[in-house]
Amino acid sequence: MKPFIKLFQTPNKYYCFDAPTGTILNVDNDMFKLLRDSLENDGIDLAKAACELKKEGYLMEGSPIKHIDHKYTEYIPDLLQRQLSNMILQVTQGCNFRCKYCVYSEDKNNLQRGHSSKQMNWSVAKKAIDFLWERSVDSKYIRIGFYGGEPLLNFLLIKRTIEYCEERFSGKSLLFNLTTNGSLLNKEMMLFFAEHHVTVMISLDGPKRLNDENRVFANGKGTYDSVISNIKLAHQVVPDWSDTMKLSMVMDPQNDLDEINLLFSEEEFRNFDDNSLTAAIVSDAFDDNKTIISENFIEKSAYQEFLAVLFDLGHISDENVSLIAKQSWYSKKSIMERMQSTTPLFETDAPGGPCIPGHTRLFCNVEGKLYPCERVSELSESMCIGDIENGFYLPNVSQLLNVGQIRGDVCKECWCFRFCSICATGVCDSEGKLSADKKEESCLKIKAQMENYMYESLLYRELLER
Amino acid sequence: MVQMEKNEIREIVIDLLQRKFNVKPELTEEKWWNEALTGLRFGFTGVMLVSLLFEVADCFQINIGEERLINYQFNSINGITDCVSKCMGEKNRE
Repeated sequence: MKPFIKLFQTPNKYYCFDAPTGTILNVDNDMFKLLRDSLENDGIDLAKAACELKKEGYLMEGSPIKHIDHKYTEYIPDLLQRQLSNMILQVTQGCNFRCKYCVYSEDKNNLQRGHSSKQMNWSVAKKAIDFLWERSVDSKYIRIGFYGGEPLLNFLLIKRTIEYCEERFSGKSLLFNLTTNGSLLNKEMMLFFAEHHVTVMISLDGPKRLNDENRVFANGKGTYDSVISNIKLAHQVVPDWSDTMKLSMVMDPQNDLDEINLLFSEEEFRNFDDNSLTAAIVSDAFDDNKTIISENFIEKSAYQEFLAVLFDLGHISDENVSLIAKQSWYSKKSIMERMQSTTPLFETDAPGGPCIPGHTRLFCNVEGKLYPCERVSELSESMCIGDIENGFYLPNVSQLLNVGQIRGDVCKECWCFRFCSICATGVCDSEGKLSADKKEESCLKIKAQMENYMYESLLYRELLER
Repeated sequence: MVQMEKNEIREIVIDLLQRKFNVKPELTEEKWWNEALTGLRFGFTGVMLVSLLFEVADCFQINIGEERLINYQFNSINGITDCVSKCMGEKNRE
C-alpha cells in the first residue's frame, strides 16, 4: 500500500502533506524524491527509508477513514429544533429587471424556477417567522434576509415582517438584510431601513455601459441611471445609513476588467472598501451554456491579484490595487489559511463542504417551502428540506449533510478530504436528483482548485517568511 | 553595478522560470516572450508572480519599484527584462 500523502514543490522548498494527520511536512530533496518514488512504484519500504517520519506517526499507508458520516448527523433534530438563527424570506418571485444572465430567466431555467408573479403573503411570512422563533430558543443572534425576485416589489410585507420580528424576537440581537436591484428604492424605504438598521445590498455590474449590457428592465432599457440616482438620493437623505450599503457585482468575464473597475472611480462608490463588495463571475450553475472566460480577463484578474498580494505584504500602496482584486484575494487567503491548520482524519468522518442544511441558513420561498439556501434549485425535491406547516423533512436534511456518502469510497482515499468544498448544489443532476456522476464532475474541479490553493498557500507562507 | 545587456537579463529570467517555476523550455522560445505569464499558457497566479518578483529582485540585487509593477508591466519575459534593465540603469546612475 502507498502512503496517504500529497507532494508539493515550490521554487525553493519541498513539502509533503500528510493527509491522515493533516500536517504539512517540510522535507529535503532526497526525502521528496523517495516519497515521490513511493507513490509511483510498489515495494518501497518507507519503514526503513523514512523511519524518523514513520516513528512520528506520519506516512500511514492507506486512509484511516472507514465510514463516511457527518459528525453533526445525530445532532440534526436538536439543532433544527432549538438553534435556528438565519432565515431568508423569498418575498416575491417577480422582478422588474430581466438581466440576461439571470438564473430565473425564462430561457435559462431548465434547472431552476422562472420569473413569476407569485408574492409571499402575510400569512406565510408570519408563519415563517413563528417557525423560526419556535426553533431558535438557544440562539442569541437572529438574522433575517429578504430576497426575491426583486424584494422591494413587496415592500409592505417586508415592513410588516420587520415590525413583527422586532416584537417577536424582543431580547435577542436582530439583524436584517436585503438584496435588491436598487431601482425601486425610494425615500420612504430608505428612512424605514435606516430606522430599523437594515443592511441593503445593491446589485450593479460595473459602469453604465457594462451594467446596461446585461442588467435591463423588462422593456430592454438599461437600468444604471435609475439605480445610481437612488444611491445618490440615499447619500443625501440618510448619509450614515447609505455608508452601510453593500454592492453585489456579477462580472461578465467577456468584458474588460479594467473597465469594470472604473465603477469605483464614480463619486457614489469612493467610500466603498473591499468589505462592502461581493464580486463574482456570471454563474452557469443552472445554464446549459457554460460561462466562457476570456483570455484577457484571466490575464488581468491574476495580475490584479498579484498587486493585491503585494499590497497585503506592504509592498505597494492602496491606490494601485483594485477593490475587486482585494476582495477576491482576501477571500482566497482565508481558504489558504484554513489549509495551513487542519485536523486529523477520523475512522468516521465526512468531507468538508456541506453546511448543516437549515441550521447554517434557511431559505423559505413564497409558498413556505424550506431549502438550505437561496442558491439551490427550487424545482428539486431533494433540495426541499421541509415546509412551515409540517416542519423539517429530516431524511432530506441528513442526505444533504451527508452528500459525501455519494461515491464515499472515492472520498475516503482523497488527499483533500478535509479541504473539500462540495455542496449539494454541485451534486444535483438535470432532474434535481443527487447524482454520483455530477459529484464526480464537481470533485475533479474542486480537487484541482484545492491543489492550486495548497501550492499557493505554501508559496505565500514562504513569502511571509522572507 | 555592472550594466547587463537585455539579452543577458532575459537569459537569466528564462533560467529562473525554468528552474524554479517548472516552465517548459518550449514556452521560453522567442515567440512567447511577450506572452502574459498570468495567461492560460503560463498559468501564473498572483502569488506565483509575487514569488517570481522576489526571485528576480534577489537574483539581480535590485529593488523593483511600484511604478514598474502597475499597468501590467511585470507580466511577460520581455516585460520583466525591461523592468530589470531599467532598474539596473537607475541603480547605476545613483
